[in-house]
Amino acid sequence: MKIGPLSISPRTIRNLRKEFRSSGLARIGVVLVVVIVLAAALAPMIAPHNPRTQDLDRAQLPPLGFTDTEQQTRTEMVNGSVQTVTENVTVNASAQHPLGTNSLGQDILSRAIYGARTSLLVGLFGTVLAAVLGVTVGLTAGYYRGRVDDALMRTADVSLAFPSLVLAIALIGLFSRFQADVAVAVTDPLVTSGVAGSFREAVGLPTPMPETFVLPTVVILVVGFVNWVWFARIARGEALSIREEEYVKAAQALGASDVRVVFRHVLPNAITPILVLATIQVAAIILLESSLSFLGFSGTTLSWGFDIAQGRDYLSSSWWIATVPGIAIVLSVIGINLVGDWLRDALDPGIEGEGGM
Amino acid sequence: MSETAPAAESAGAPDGHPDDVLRVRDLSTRFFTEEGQINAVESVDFTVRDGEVFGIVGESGSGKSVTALSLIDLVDSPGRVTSGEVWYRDADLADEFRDELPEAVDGDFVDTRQLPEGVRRALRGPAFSMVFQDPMSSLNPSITVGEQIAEAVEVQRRARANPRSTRSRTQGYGMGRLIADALLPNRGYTSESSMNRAIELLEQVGIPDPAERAHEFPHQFSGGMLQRAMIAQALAGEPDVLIADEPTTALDVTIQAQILNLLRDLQEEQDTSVVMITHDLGVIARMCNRVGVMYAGQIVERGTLADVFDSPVHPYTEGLIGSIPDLDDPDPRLQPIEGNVPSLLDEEMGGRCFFADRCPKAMTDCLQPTPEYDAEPGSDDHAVRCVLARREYSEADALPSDHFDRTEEVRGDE
Amino acid sequence: MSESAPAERDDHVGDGSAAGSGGEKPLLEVRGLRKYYYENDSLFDRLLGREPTSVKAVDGVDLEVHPGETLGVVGESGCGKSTTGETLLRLREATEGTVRFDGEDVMEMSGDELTRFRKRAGIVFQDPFSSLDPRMTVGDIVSEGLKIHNVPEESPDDGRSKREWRRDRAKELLERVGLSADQIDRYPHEFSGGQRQRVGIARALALDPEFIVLDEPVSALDVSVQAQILNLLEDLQEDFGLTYLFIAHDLSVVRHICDRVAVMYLGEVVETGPTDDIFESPKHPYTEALLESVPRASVEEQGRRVDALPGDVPSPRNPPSGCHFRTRCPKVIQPATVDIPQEQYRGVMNLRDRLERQGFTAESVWETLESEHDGEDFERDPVVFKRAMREEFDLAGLSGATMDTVEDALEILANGREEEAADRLRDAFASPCEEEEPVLTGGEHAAACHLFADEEYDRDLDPEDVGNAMGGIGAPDPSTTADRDVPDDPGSGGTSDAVGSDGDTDEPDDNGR
Repeated sequence: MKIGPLSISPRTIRNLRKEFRSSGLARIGVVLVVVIVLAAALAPMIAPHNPRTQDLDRAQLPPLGFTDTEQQTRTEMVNGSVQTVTENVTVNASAQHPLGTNSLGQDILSRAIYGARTSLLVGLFGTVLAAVLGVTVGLTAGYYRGRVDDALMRTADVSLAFPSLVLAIALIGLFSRFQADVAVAVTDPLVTSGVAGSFREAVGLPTPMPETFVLPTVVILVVGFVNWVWFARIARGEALSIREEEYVKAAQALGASDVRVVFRHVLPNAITPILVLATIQVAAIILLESSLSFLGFSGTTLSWGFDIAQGRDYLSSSWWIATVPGIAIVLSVIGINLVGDWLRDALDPGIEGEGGM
Repeated sequence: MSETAPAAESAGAPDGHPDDVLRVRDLSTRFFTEEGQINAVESVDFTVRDGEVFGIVGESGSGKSVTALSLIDLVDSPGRVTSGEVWYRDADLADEFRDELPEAVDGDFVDTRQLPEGVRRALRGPAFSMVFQDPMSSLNPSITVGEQIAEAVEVQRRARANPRSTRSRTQGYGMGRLIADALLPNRGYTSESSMNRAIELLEQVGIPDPAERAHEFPHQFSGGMLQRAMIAQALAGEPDVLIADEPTTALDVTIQAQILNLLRDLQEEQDTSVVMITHDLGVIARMCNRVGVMYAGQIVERGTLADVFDSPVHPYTEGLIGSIPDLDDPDPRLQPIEGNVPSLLDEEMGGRCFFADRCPKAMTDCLQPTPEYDAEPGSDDHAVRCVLARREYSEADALPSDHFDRTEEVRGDE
Repeated sequence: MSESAPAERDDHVGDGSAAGSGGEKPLLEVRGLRKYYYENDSLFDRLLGREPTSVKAVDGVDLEVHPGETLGVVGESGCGKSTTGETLLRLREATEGTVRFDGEDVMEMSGDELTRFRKRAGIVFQDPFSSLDPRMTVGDIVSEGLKIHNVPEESPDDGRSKREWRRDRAKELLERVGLSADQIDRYPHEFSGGQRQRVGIARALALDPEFIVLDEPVSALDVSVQAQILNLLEDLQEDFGLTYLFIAHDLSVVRHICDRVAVMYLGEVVETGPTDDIFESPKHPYTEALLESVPRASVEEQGRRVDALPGDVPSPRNPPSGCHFRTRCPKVIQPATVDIPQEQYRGVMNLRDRLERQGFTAESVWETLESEHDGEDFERDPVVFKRAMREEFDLAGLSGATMDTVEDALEILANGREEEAADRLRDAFASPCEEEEPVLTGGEHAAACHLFADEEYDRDLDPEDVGNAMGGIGAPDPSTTADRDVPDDPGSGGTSDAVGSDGDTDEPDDNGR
């Protein structure tokens, strides 16, 4: 099976299967990741409510199985005088909002499902951007060595000197200065085509879902620019060792151009650690995005991080507002890391003939 | 040694020469891997005499290294020595276990494979010792060379004080003492006298400035120097049998000559027996008195140097000698052995002579397992695992040249 | 066999005859090739004022390869043979020197010229396990060269696509090297070492080259497989009229397959000539030592006492001045003012070398002596020190002025002044070998050694002395000794003759050697 210059041999598939069967953690990881991906992809179809719809009457409902007590004050006529009465009212959960609602009455579960989209899109695109940038720089540095290597890697070192969050915020600030839109509204094909609508009618879920979805483009760009360094380092290390392999010299002896050697010989043989890094990076980027959303920088409000920020003030009372998105983040990150482990264990070359791609 | 009877009889040590220090019978080592069972060593017999150099020669996959490891119980899982006896001559050891394990003792010989594991391990150092191929990876790169040799010396000293127990060597040296030694400057596992002995050993193996070199780390040594240091470490316990596994393969030819000279000298001085494992027939010729040729886990021919080089019986031995270019008299054309080394997977090995598929003289007789025969009647030394020791080659019985291709097709091989 | 070979080839290829030489223009001519690796050369080091040090991997190599012949390049590790092979193909940039391939300077080529050169000169590497890209099928590996150079240039006439044509050619090549065409889609890890090496050879042949550098092609293979591959290489050379540069460290293999040989030591060629001449009458002491050290696979070898060359190869970072081999050479030439047994002279030189390279301090000797007297009280007695030194360096038996000088130096050394001791010894014992670098002289069979360059040094050395100088005991093998005597030496009747000259080292040799 070939994907461009990269070929996935039958042996790779065999190794992946073998590792999958033998490792329970791998299976858990895959399940978690599949759940998240499905949630993100099919959000308009499976979210119980429109995540943006507010309903102040039904604010701060607890999740199913919990009851909440709230202090309510009202004024009453008692014996002819006006008095304020405080009483404890139990608030019951509602089957319509299985995970409860937030302070604006928005359904937590729907927001969590849509939040998966944000996180996953940023994670994926951000990783791809970081990978493309980083691998190119790293391979170049490792292949040519000398001054090129020095220059490129010093840039990387400088970049690493800044904590990623701080760097991200600074870059976002820079972007916003020059550009009005930090995020872009993208139309949601599942909704505009009517697929989501018909499905929801058939199943009996309340319709109109948001027609557009906010893609935090600047965050993606920023995350790419912050995280490329990890890819560059790994790619450089691999390039340094692979370029000494005799098959690289053989290709040079045949007259292959440098570009050909790097993309046809060095890259495919360096791909394994890069792939493993990529999975870990998706998790890291999701965390970074959550942090940025928490701080309000991401340009979208439909994000796990943002919800956590919202729920921060209610932690002691309506704890579910912050906790649910928090758990979502934790599960995603764990799932992705487990998948990364699975890939690494299966693809680790180790003994000749075992593992490896 | 005459034909090995198929039934296993452990009626004491096998017969041999009165000077034997080691007699190995029917040694087999298997590796139990995911792909199947690999028969790395298959029913190997040989003897080593006092003060001689016995060579084991074979190509990659012949099982020679695993044989060496099996002798001193260094085979790691998934491998295991599955059968066989290793009779080692040591009168004191024999006396000690005569009553406890009567089947394991025969005269002065003790079957080490029947001894408890701790005792077997205790033999490493004073009885058996090993030198490996790559000195760079056999020495700890973070400890000075002198320190490592001193450790070996120290271990032997403590062992001599309490011979049969492995505990005594490191007894009392627990975590507490380790931390204390790390913090306090002048203490350590090794004493000054063992360090001095280490320096002495370094000098004995020809390392110049031994006192200075002892404080250096392995990466500061050249390949030849490191190998000398390895030999020094191996000799720290004054072993009876030194097993050298490709000791000079990684070295340049002029350095190899130095190391072989050294081994020769030390062997003569200390009267140590050496088992020399290599793929290089030239090294065999220089160093060894008697030789065993291994192929696919078996010893296919063994005898004196003259037996093997000048009157080989087994076609593999002939083929091996014919494929080597001669330094002094170059042939216009080499006579290689056609084909490839066979797989050692149990299921793929037929119950036949393992060389038959490449043998220019394969006959129908060869389709059965071949026992070891005397090459000449009454010969003590020269033994062959080949029917040609018993009969002449005749075209009439020859196997057709594609006999094995067909069989492989049927089995669905590539 | 190939339908697509562009017409460039016709007038370049020799007629496939073996030992081409003498008169015919060489296909490859290397002059003064140097390849230095500079360390401490980054921006940081410059800022800190560090001098760039260089590893002189190749330090002035001259070679010639004639069409159709096989030139062997032998030497031990660190001699620079592999680097030479790669540099002359311009896989590395040379620091200095010219390489003429069919008249054109390879070092000056660029762009299209270089691309054309790559089609005419190929290389086969040593390690079958790393010379094939593990992610490519064998068919892709073999046909990669064709893709790079866009061969075939136009679609073939018989209706096949270019890709099909290339695939067919790959199958053809696999068959030609002894593999089966239906293995074309297999990956390298499914093949044995010998088979992989065959794939590497097929890859080198794909573009129909005239010249192939074989960098230790059989060193990593088992003996029986090695023989198969050697036979294959010989057959291919004959069928396609190839010229080989065969790099190896195994002398028996070189003897078998090469027409001419160049022996390298520490980045230089020390001897070159027809194979039989080199092996039967070696001139350079290093060549002799190499031949002496190789164990022969025959019964006569048993118990042979080999006079091993002592010591290790010096570091290419700091090669010895003058002749690089002088630190180990048993025949190192004594200065005119000195006349002592060669064995002792070698001992003095060893002492000097160790002192000068600072691998040696008086303190360490004292420590060693102390450790020998483990437990006893040990006083630092210079007499004991000197005795130990004399023993270690074989300095016993000197007399007269030389003995005084040596004793003085040892006394100084015992007091811990290593440098001064070294200076003292150098003043008295400096050899011409360390002052002047020898040049390859001798025509067909040339050696870079002062013993052959200048009649002055042609001393008829007593073979037993030389044998002892190498550290062995007893007479060396007669068959090699006889050839150590320098042929055609008119004036030597003993060591005294040479010493009687006036010490002028620059007199031209009028024997025309």
